Amino acid sequence: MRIARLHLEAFGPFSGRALDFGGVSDPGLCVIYGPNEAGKSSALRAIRGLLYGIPHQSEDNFVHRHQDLRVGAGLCFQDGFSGEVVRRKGTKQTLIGQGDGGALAVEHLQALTQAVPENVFVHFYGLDHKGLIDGSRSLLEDGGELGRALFGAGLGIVHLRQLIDALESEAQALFVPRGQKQRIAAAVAEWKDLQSQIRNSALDPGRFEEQAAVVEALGGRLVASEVAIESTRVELSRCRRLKDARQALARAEDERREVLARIARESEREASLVLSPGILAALEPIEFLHQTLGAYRETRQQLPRREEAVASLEAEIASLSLTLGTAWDAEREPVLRRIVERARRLRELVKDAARFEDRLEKAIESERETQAGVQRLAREAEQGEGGAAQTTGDPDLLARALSRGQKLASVDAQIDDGFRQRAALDEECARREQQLALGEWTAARLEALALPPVSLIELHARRYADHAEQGARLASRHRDLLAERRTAVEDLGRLRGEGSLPSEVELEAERRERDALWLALRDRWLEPTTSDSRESRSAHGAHYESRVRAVDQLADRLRNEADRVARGAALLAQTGRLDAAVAEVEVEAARRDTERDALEAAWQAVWPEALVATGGLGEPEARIEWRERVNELFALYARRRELEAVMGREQAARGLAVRAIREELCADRAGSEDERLEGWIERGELEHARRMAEQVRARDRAQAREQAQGQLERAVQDREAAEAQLERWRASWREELTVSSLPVDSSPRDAEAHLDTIQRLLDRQGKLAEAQVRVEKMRADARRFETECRRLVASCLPELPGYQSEPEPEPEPEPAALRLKRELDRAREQATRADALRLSLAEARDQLEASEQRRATCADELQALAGTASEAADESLDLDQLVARIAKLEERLAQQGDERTRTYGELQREQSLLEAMDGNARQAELAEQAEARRAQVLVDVRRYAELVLARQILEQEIESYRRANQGPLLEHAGWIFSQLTRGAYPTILSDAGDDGRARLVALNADQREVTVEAMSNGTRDQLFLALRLATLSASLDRAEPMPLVADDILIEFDDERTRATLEVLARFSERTQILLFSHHRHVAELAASLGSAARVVEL
Amino acid sequence: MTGSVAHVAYNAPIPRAGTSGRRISGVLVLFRFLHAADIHLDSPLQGLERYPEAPVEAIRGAPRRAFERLVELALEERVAFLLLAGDLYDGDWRDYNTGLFFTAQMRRLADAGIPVHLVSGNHDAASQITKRLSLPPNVTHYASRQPQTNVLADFDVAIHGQSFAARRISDDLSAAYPQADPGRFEIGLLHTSLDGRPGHASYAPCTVEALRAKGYAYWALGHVHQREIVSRAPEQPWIVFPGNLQGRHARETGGKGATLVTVEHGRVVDVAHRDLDVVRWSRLEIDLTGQDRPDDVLARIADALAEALAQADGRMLAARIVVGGSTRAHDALVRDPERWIHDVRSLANDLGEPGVWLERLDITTRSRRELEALRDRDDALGGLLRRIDTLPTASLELGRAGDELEELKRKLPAPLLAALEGSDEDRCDPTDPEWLRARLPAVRDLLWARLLAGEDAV
Repeated sequence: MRIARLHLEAFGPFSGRALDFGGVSDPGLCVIYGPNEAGKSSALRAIRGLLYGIPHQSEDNFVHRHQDLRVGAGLCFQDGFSGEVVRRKGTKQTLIGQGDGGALAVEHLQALTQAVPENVFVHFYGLDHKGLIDGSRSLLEDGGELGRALFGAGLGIVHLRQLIDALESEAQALFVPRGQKQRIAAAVAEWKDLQSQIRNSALDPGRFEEQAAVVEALGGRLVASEVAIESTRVELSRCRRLKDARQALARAEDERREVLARIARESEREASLVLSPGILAALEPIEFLHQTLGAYRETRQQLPRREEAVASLEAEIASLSLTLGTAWDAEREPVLRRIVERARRLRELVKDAARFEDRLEKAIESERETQAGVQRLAREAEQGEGGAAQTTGDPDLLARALSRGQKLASVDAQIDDGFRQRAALDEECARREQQLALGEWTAARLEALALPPVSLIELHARRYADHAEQGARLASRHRDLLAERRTAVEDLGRLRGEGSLPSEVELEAERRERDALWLALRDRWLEPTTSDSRESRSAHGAHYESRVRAVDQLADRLRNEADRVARGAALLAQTGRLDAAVAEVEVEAARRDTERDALEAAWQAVWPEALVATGGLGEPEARIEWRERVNELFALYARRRELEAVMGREQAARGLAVRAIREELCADRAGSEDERLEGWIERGELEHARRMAEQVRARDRAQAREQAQGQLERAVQDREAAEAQLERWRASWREELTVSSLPVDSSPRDAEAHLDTIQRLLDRQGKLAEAQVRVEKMRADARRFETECRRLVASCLPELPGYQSEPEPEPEPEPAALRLKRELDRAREQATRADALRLSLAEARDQLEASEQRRATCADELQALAGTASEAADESLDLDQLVARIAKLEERLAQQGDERTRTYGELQREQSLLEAMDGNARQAELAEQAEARRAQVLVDVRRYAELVLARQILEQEIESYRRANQGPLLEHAGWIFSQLTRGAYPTILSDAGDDGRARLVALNADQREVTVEAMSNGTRDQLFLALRLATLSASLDRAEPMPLVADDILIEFDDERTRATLEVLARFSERTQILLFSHHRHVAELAASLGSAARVVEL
Repeated sequence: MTGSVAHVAYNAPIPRAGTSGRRISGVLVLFRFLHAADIHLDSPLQGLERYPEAPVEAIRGAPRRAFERLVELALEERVAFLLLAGDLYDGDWRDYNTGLFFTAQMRRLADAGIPVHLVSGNHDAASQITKRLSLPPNVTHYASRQPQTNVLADFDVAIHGQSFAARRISDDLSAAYPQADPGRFEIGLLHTSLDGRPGHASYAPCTVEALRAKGYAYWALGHVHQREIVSRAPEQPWIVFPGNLQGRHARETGGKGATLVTVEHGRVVDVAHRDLDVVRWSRLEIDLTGQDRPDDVLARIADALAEALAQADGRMLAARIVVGGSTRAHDALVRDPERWIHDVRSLANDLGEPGVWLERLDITTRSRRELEALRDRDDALGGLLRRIDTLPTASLELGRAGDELEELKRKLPAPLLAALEGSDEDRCDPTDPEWLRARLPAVRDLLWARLLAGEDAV
């Protein structure tokens, strides 16, 4: 199959683009060249999409929407059939036939793509640069191993070795004969382990029953053990109680004896005690006396110092009284206290005095300074107003006049410019008038006339020109016609000179003559006359015959010389037509002369008669420029008049402005109104600025004066307020002195000193009163102590030395008090001891009673215990025997306890074993796990077998393919390789490698073997290409081939190799179409240089 | 006892055995009983290869939980009695815990006053547990020497049964069963393959006609794992295989459980199947024709899984997925099956509780190309395809591969490779030419896909 045309209707960057790859008669090698971004890749995908459908997620939708993608093609098949198809994007019936044969083309293509699925097409009929490099590398990595090289090239795949390795490694991940870690081995090991667990831990029915029996037996043993322990425990308890009762009885008897002895001892000690009831009766007074003894000693020590302090205060009070002017008199105290009570008010007034005086002083100073300021400003004002008196005029009026003038600021320049323009216009008008040489027709006269406008003159000029042009054309045609007629006449003459010209008219005349002769001859033959001699008939006959011949000859000539005859007839007709045409032209020329006169008359009619009368109007064309220049002159006059009007207005306005400013500046100053406005504005602006400054200064001075006057008024008010305040204070002061009984003329300082003295006097008086009270109290306390001491000695210790003789000296109270205390302590100790002995005796009697009760109880218990046990029947069962028996029983109990603990532990263990046999599902879970491992192993075994089989079958087929195809393929590939390398490697051979496997080697030009390892990369690439083309070639004859699509396979070839490859491909393309895509211009150029062997299509 | 079966809605509770109810002359005239068989307690589910996200917890102890559901159903329905028609255990199962579990469940029924009648099947006959287990008093285990009859006076019912004495019984046990007493509702309890059922060994064979001839109202059969009502009213009698209680592998698909029978006035008025399985086995055959993109394929599988899960009524689903049909995705499927298995497991995982366990993904799709046409090509590709197809059936030229497979076989314990009972489908023998030949289509697809897929896909 061959793609004759590819229609990229809507695909990738293409819209309605058609690529012509050539029909059956064109070269099969088509190089499609396009620089980067030209859409080469899209075109490649379009071919694949055309054949096998546009992929669902096509990347070629960046211009056209997915649903709009379309690729069409004109296809030629090997059986000579051809047709057009279109592939659209979609899921069903995406291939559509176009035009006649379209449906059949669809069928053909579908049959072909079914026989060659897409992935087969990609590998088998597709070759790109990466495939070439990978194939070449694969050759190197396989060391040129022949089987894989041929098989890989045969399938168009380059990864055969990786595929076989992958199959091998995936299988080895599952299983290796001696491996332990691979999936299958690991899972089998786990399965075996689980099986072992299941076997070992299964619960046997007999085992369960046995366990149940063991548990039951142990339960029985435990119960028996408990019974024995209980029995031992009861006996032990009885023996212990018997022993306890015996010991308690003995202890009760001992205790009774001890208590009786203690009672005797303590009764004896009680009798020996001496008691003093009298002194104990005065216990509290004596204790109090002893407690106050310290205070008494202190009083006696401090009393003299206190009395001295009283005297000192009295002396100070007397001195202060004298300072106030009088001796101390208790009656004065209330007066002094009142004065002190008023002291706070007095002190506030003293503080106010200083403040008010200070304020008055400041107010006076401020008033003085403000007064001076006012006076200064007044002086300045007088001076300022004197200066300002020179100024006259209102600046605002001046400003308004100036503003009017400023609006006309450019009037001076405009008036000057007007004068310049007027002079220039005068000069121009004079020059133009002179140029026009108007003579008596001055411009003013001309303006008064109604001159025709330029357009009218131009109209007449065009008419004159048209008339002249038509005349020229007519003359030319006349000349041409005459020349043509002359030529025709000459041609006719020449024709006639070449021989007479037969004509239809002539023939007709000859025929008529012949027919007449024939009729005459027939008549004679039918009705012979006598006069008709034989000769005459013969002559007529001969004449008729000669006419018949002449007619035949003429007819023959007409036929044989038809061209000449026709030409002669044409020339004659032409001559006639030309004569008529010449006559028409001449008539037309005559008519034109009359038209010329009419034009002349009309031309003169447009001008004023006066001007026409002067003559020399000339033709309209000549008058156009004159009329235009007259118009220009008229325009200059008009401009001059307009200029003068403007200047007049400007001068009037300037005069008004100047007058206004001048009047404001100096009404008295005279000036010409022609003075330039600029000067007046300048003067006016200076004066305005001066007047404005003066106005501002005057306003500032007035404001300052006003402020100073205000300040002066406020200062006077402040001073007066201060004076009034001070006066009010003086009145208060006097009133306070009177109230405080101070001298009316006392100064604040005197008053303060007086107050301090009174305060001190009153303080001393207070302290003196306190001191006197305290001295009196101390004296009274001392006296009370001494009296009480004497009373107690008299009542409690009458025998004390120094108290019995009369008259007694005043006893020393301190030793007596101490003696009383010592006696009291001794009496109290005796009394305490007596109380303790009494209590002890009572307690001993209680103990005696309790002891006797216990003794009776123990005796009863012993009696009871002894009565219940046979071995205790003997009351003589002594304590030692009891102790021995108890020890024995305890030992037995311990043994029985151990036995029970052992049995219990054993029971627990066995019980838990039995409980573990609870119908649990542990075994079932292990079985589930084992089953899961088994399932995994089965899956892996299946997969392993598939991988191993796949590898084995592939290797067998590779070898089989080699054996079957090695000879022809190597021969063909060798030829191609030789072509590609320009004869550098004429032959490819099979050689046995070190491992015995067949390997590819090439013979170079020197007949030396070169292995694939020894080849350069480029040469090896060519070798792979040769193998691919050879295997592809082998399949071409077996079925209809698809086009071979090669993508940039020459990218790394130099020009020589590229050319060689293109030549090989061109040869190859004689058998099937090759579409070689490239983005290298030199490839396209080299292909073009092959001439008719290749076709270049540019994208 | 002839006439059509009346399917009546019995909403009113049926009085429990031993209690007062609708009685005529002291006999309960309306009662239900439950018929189950082939419990295979503690027999593990087969073929479930574990993978990280697999719902392992959901399958744990499935046969036990199904049996617990049976007991709960009996309690719920207050049935008159429970019939167990053999194969309570797996024959080679030795763990006595299984028997203890069974007795614990029986005690629950005993507490509710429900008697249980059971015969041993071929599996039980070989079981040590059967021989040693002490059964609670409410369980009647029928003798194996000769048929035994028990009459339940409360219901005027007689039950005839005979246990298997040995694993293989080739005699027709039913022949010795007594003729029915015309005035009584009589039940035959028998473990048998009847006149042969596919996938089941022939044990205690008998014919439908022979069973009919006994004049019983109901034959409670066991042994065949597929539920089947062999005979029903009006032909009489009811001959029922309830199927096993829990499917054990991918061939035991669909709902599994027990048969609940309602009897009124000595006539069967309703026979209803109740699903009690915990894990539902399902074989999903998915036609991928027209599903050409991988995403389409996965979406189609996801839909099928979701639908099957919905039908499983809240049970975990153990699914074998068989994808077939003609699809462009075929090459992608066969090129890397592991990836697809992983993707489908992820899909199953995404379906959430109660979970789907992908047991196997079988790829039987065809490419849209015509391999026949390619096989005829006179080139390397055609040669390869022809080689695969024409590998001699007598002896494969396995070369090194044969040695490797022999080596593998030696490493695999025989029990691990044993096929499932009654099926060749899961048989595995890497040295068996037949088994290897069955792998050839997969091998061809693998080679085709990898050869022409490009280097990246190797």
